Amino acid sequence: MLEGLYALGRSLAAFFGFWPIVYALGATLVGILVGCMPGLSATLAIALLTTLTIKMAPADAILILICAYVGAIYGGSRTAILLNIPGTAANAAACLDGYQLARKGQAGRAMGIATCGSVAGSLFGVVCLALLTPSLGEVALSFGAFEFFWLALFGVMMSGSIAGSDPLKGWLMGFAGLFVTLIGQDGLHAHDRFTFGYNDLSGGLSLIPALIGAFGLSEILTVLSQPAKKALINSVDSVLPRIRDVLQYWRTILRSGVIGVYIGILPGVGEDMAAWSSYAAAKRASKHKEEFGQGSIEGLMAAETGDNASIPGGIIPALALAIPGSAPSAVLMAAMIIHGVQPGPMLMVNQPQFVYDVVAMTLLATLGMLFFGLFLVRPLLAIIRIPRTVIMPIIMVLCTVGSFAIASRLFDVYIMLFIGVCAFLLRRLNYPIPPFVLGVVLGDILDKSLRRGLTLSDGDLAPFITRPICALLAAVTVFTMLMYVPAFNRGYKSAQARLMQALRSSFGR
Amino acid sequence: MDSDVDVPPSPRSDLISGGVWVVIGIAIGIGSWRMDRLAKQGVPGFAAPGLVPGILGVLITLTGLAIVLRSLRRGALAGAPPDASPPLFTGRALLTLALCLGFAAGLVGHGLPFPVAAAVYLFAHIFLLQLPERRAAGNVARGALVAATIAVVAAGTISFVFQYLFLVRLP
Repeated sequence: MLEGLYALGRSLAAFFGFWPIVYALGATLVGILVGCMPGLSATLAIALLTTLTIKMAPADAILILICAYVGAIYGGSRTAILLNIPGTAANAAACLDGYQLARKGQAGRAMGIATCGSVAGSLFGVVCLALLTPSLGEVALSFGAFEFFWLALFGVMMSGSIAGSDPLKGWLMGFAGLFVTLIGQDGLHAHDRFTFGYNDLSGGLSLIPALIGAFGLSEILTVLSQPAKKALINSVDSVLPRIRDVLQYWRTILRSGVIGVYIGILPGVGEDMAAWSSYAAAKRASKHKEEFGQGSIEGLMAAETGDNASIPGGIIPALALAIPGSAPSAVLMAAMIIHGVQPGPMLMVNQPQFVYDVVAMTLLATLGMLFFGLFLVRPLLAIIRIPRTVIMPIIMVLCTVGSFAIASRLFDVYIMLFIGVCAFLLRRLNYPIPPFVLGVVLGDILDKSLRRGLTLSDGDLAPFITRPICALLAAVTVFTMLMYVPAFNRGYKSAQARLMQALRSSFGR
Repeated sequence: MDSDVDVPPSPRSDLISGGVWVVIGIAIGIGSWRMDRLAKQGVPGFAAPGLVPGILGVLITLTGLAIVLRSLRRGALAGAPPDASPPLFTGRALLTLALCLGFAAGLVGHGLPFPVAAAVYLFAHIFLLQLPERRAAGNVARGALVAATIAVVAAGTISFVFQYLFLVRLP
């Protein structure tokens, strides 16, 4: 415990210097700007900044990426409140009450509440990040190939179940992502798979250009094919939050923080689900349920606390297990690998200080978010008014440079174009992209873990379902899938109803 | 924004997309089955390089098949009701796609200095996207001037920041 505190102190001392603070403020501002612009996601911000910071020192580069991540999720609440369009998917729940408050002439108050909720959620998440990551890392040391196989599959299937409105399509995108990452040399025997004799494919499809295509080009095409909405609000009231608004809802903040971190830790679930779950829990517990959806301060606070708490929550399994909690944290994890950090159970053994560095980085990002949220609201509002016809072509130039920058290969630019056009078409057909991202990031772990596990057990499948954690993960994964089979779902629900009936009658007697 | 389209696709488009996935899944399965199993190097079948892609091929085929069957149940082949789902490509999306492909696959990396290629692309894209509004407002010349200014400033800034501040090579 004391050793952990000492390590945290060292990290805080290292990151509270002049340049780290400058980087943190700059990156948080960039993140907020990206989040403010509907059509640009936190995932794209991290992917693009990974390419920009490729030559920087690893600590500085990862600091910038984390600050941009936190900033982007927070920045999305601006457009949710003013335009009724969530800047990122995580802010969709904030639209419900934020926009209603803006219509009542309380846009500034709504933004102040969003800032407070985001800061409180992020701080709660930072504490959990510091406390839970080392413990989870320690537990994960006992994990073998069998457990990692299920964790990877669980993450992809959960993401497929939750992202979008059609689990079948979500799972399919997850499988496609897993397959795409297997193109190139096999990780165990260096055998070419699906390269068709093409040398550029032997190295595999580069992750960052693929993600820039999936979240950049596809967004550009999507945004420019839809009519633009004009900003509702041209002036805002004071954005300084009222202390009473914050203190009154401390239970909501705490509850949403716990839900956000918990959902963040679940592989593949993501910030949007954290926001919706926190919102739903706040509504259930509220004495003023009727105000939800009509401009409830409590609802907005819950949504924004939940999504920001899930950011550190999503980083916890990414660091301790190398299984990211969401699409943006998957890209963050990939960036860490590019910068020479190997997340996973051995991280606490090989680079224990890094975990506390990430805690300090997230704390800096939170402070940056508070600063910009309270003092730079009006200049930030100007960003929303820049026409998309100007922003999107500039983003395309950034996507092209970013794809090329990782390995200085034009081939990566073509990969970005190919994946981008495919992702655009698939999104139009209601196929969600986040499970694809999780698949791309987890494909290598799944492939190696399955074959290593089978080699260890000499081809016996039993350890994959008899080891306790494997059994639990397998049961949850299979059950989640079966729940979408209508016959199973009906059977389960009728069995559940019969059980409840029996319990009620036995207690009633 | 990670959201998807608001209007769900029609059963017919699900039938087509599911069918394409079935074909892709079968192709992956066949490719994996035909892949060298490295038996001569003593690699057991359960560790062969084609094992996981093969399983994924089967899963993609089955999921694609489920989408096809569901779309048939929802009447994908029944008559031709008015299609409520939006078209895959609008005119603006097609224009954007053509300009993006023209820039990234045509202009970049083929001898033209990157700042020039970026400026040409930015001017063309901004000007063409704003042209209908500018024409309606009767200020096309002003639109061209604004687009050119933004293009030159943005291309110069991006090139400078990547190349000289962050030491990243430009294509």
